[in-house]
Amino acid sequence: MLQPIENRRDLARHLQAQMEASRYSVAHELDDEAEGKNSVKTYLLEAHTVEKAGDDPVEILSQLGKTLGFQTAATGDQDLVTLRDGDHDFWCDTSLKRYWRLHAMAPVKLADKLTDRLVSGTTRLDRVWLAPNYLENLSKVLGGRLQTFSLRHDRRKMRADEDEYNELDFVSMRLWSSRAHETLGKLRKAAVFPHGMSVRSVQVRREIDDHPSEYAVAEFFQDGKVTASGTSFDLHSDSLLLILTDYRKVVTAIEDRFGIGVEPHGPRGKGATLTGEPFTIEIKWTTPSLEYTVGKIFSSVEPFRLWGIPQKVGPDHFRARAVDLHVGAMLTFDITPKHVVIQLPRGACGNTIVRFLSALQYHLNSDVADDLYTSGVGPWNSRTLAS
Amino acid sequence: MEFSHLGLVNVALALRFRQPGWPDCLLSGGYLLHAVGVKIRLPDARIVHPDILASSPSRGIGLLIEVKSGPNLDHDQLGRMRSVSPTELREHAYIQVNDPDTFKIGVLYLCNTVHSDSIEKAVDGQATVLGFDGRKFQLAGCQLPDDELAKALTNASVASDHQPLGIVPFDDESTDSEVATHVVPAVVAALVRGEGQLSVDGILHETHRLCCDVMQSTGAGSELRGIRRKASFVLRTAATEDFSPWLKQVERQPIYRFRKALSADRAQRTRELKSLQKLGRSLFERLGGDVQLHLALPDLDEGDE
Repeated sequence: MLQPIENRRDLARHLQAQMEASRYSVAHELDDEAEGKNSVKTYLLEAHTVEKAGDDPVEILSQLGKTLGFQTAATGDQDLVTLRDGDHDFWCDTSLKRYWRLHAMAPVKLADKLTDRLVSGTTRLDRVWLAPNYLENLSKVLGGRLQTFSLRHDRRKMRADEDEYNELDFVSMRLWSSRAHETLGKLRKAAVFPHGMSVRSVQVRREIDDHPSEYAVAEFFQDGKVTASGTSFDLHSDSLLLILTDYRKVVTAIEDRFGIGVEPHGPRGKGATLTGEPFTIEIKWTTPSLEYTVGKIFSSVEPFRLWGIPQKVGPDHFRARAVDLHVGAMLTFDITPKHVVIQLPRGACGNTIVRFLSALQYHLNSDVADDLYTSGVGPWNSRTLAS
Repeated sequence: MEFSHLGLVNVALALRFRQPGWPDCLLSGGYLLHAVGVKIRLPDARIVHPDILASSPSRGIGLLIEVKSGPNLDHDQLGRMRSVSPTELREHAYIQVNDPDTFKIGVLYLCNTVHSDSIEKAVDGQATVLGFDGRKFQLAGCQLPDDELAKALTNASVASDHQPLGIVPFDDESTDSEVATHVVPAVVAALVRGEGQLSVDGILHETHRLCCDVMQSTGAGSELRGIRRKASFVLRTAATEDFSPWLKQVERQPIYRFRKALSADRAQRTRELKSLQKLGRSLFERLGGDVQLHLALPDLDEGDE
């Protein structure tokens, strides 16, 4: 009989048992439909208002539950909330405040659906968006071994059907290989998919030193989903923590450096000064018509989910005051044949920028901002502008 | 190329930010931007009203920047700006002045190059004139107190067809259609956030979020009042015309209520958002805007929702 889960330690034990039970099914998961079917699923979420406005995670989830029709229950641990959707339990670990880990054992389709409803049901939650090159290097970051990877890049919705187009249009592949990392490197080097090497997921095996029987095999997806099996929940949990630490650094650096707004200044702090700077993305557009692509970006639908009415302010210069439909924030975009310049208001959520970059990377050019994680944001932007 | 008053304000502000194709002379000189369109009340009831107040604490220099989109000049304003002392800037404009004895203040007129000569004549050596033609800057009049900045401006060039960022989105001289370009997204943002109502001040805070605080008066007034009037007119027009199915003004109050919320159903919500884009375009057109400048947005594809 299932013991009640009262705290994160109970949860860890419970999820570890599920990881162990699911480890024999992993080898059979060769198609997308079956991805993580029996594994433990963890969804990495971002709740910016928890830190910025002091919102209570329990309150956010409870309100969402009322709207979306699931039940929430507090546990003995104030950072752990149980969600019950139909016959399935989910556990939301909010101990990292802004970054949540939603764990589930429910079938993957149901778990995906609930997560989708959560992030689309409120402007206070978003996903964690992992960049293709971060995923590509993740096995090194985690000190593990890359077992498999998948690519997915799709430009079809970003160009008009009638456009004559002879370039790469879309890529979807999943590769199991004993030398997955080398294979990935060779694909990149040979430029088989120019600007289309959008790594959608990587499966990494980690083991505890000198104890190879203690391991976790986890597949990390670009939209923050992680499916895990193995014998060590601690290793899985450690991986999540490392990723969220890196992610937090990037988002915080974006907000601190690029948020434009006013800071107190001068005698007795009574004066003010305008600080921050625009966020500049250098891009080689891969679609035939920039005008059409700009229209698509601001058409309210996936993948960008930005609402706007772009204006032509120069021969090849488009400007849009746009609403980010995930969080309801307003940003200004300047788009030219070589750049996208975003004015992020101070206090706005930096995750918006990461999500925008992710949409560019999976639908227009996989190489955009390819050193976002390694550069700590700063040098990357300077380099872009210097060129 | 000739710029409007707002265009030139944004040209000056763009010099303080990194932007592809634009020089960042003010940023590299350590300049800070303190006020945009704010009046400063000085002793003896003098009021100076520069368009932009900037200073470089590291160089010990303050700049009162006045923007002129035409050839005319207010001589009284020039006299008042020239009379400002470092101590007065510190005490009444709240900027950092480490040593009033060595702190230098420059008065800089930024104008379209075609008007440089007439502005130069009018200032008669009492201020620096900076002409801009869309590509190059040209200095005239008296010498800037900051030699390095003067050199940087003289050498600076803007890449072809590059527009400055719109840090200040609209001013009290902007057309109603231009104002609507910014007000409409702010209305939609409030709708997306699920707010039941909105105020003119709330909208203004959203449209001018980057610069609103440096446009706030500390008692002597600012251009924000005229901008508020503009936003108020556009919002009223939207509520009574194109956006009437969504927005209703609370009688005799600068507050508007949403008649309905966006649908919780994702597909329906997307259709509503697309419809709001069409309403926005029709409002721009109603207010006299050139709708050709606004991109026609692609129709929804199957499965787009």
